[in-house]
Amino acid sequence: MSGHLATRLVALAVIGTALYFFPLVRLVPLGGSNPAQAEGYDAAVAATAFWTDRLGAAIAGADDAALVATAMADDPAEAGERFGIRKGVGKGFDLFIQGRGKVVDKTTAGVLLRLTPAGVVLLRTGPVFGSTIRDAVGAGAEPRPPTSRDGNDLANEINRLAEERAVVLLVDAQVGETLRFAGCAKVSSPARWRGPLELSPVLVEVP
Amino acid sequence: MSTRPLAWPHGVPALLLGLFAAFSAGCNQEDSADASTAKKPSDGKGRVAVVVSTLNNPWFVVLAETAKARAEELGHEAVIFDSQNDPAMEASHFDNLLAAGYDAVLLNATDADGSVAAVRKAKERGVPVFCIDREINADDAAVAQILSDNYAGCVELGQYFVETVGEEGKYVELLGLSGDNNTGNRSDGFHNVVDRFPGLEMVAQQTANFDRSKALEVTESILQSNPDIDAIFCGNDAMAMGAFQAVNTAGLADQIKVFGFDGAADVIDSIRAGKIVATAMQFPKTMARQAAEFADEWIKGRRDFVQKTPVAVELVTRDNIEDYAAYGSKE
Repeated sequence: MSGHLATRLVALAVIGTALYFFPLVRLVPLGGSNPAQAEGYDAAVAATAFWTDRLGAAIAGADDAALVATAMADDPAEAGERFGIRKGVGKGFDLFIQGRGKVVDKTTAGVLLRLTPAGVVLLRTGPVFGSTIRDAVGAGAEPRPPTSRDGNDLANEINRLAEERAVVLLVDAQVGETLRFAGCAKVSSPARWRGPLELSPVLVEVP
Repeated sequence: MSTRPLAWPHGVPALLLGLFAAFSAGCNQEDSADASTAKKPSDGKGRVAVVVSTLNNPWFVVLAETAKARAEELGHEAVIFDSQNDPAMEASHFDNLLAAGYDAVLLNATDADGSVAAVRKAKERGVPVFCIDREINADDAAVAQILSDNYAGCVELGQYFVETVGEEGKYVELLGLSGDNNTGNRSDGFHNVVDRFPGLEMVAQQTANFDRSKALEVTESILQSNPDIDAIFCGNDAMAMGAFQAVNTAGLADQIKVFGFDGAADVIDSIRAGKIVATAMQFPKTMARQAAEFADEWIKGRRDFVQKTPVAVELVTRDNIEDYAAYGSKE
């Protein structure tokens, strides 16, 4: 009897020790540090580096605004095939365009530009949301953020820079003035798209 | 959590592993995996395992069954393994399917970090893993990851939230599983927009684990102390249905706007009926088919895959509800 008891006690001790080191249930607190965000990655630094070192070259390679605006007005789906920047699977696409245009109107939504020789775009003056700029200008391509949530942070930082360094300049735009600009647009559904192209600007200059 | 160096008492690891394997082998496989019947795909036909986080949610049933059906259409044998949202059960499924000689795994992971080890084990055995819908936090383990663009989808949903609720009001957020990146990405996208409006006050943020019953319970509790809220943002449609049930029972359906994410059948019906305001349509069939096709291509010799393939998410409201059916668009 005492032998059985000793065996059971030893077995319980062994199982207890095993469970102490390898618990069957692990409680993970919500909030605090996020394991899905890699240590050592700084989205603000990455965004600033892109803006300083690579945005200029990216703008130089952006599509001509008048060409794209005209193509979108004619056939959004076809324009998407020619100029759309696509990532993964979906019917939508992003656009990254640059050009010059004359300010023809200012509304609560933004500054309306008439392009030469044709086409109209709206440079949005409100807050910049989402990942359209990040994806359209290629800021997330190299170096690639380690995790998707790092990518979200990068998008936020790029948006912040766009607001601070481009959107804010639209406040002083005057009707009749000519602006040089570059910006990004998201077209979620070509079939439902209605103009004009609405751009989140990354460059605004009075030439 | 810290890790401690240790030495197992002699014989215990084998005993526990044996018990664990015996237990796991009996759990939730539609078909049993038998190593003796494993064959290599010399004819381009292989055995594909579909390991899904849970079958207790219709969205994941659609995901798993579509993946299985597409693999079978392509000439492969396919079996679904249900992990029941349990990383340990998922790991056990991997042990079994690797022992059984499966040629590819289509994985809907239970945990972004916790599932990495199983995927690495498969990689070491030369078995490719294609992640569907749920990201794992490693870029060098799975062959490819086909994932909804949750962040962009919730940015769009957040903009619609502000448009319909207004720039002032009180709201509640129900979060999904803490170990799933989709939970964070959806919340990030939503707050990317809503946090820019200081008049919108989040009075409670609680997890309901993507579960309808849990969301019902959590929402009932929240409503007792916050009956004056204007909206509830839910990280998936199952939670939206649970939240709406609580709101409706409290007689607050005309006051509180409920938003979901997924495009599940009951929420599509609820949007059409004017009960739930909006959801973001994921495309589980698209993701599942793509993963099965990648596995097919791997089995036939392709090796160059992009690590992450985002799949667009679309806002669904009463304005465009006729363009959509459950789990996808009508196009």
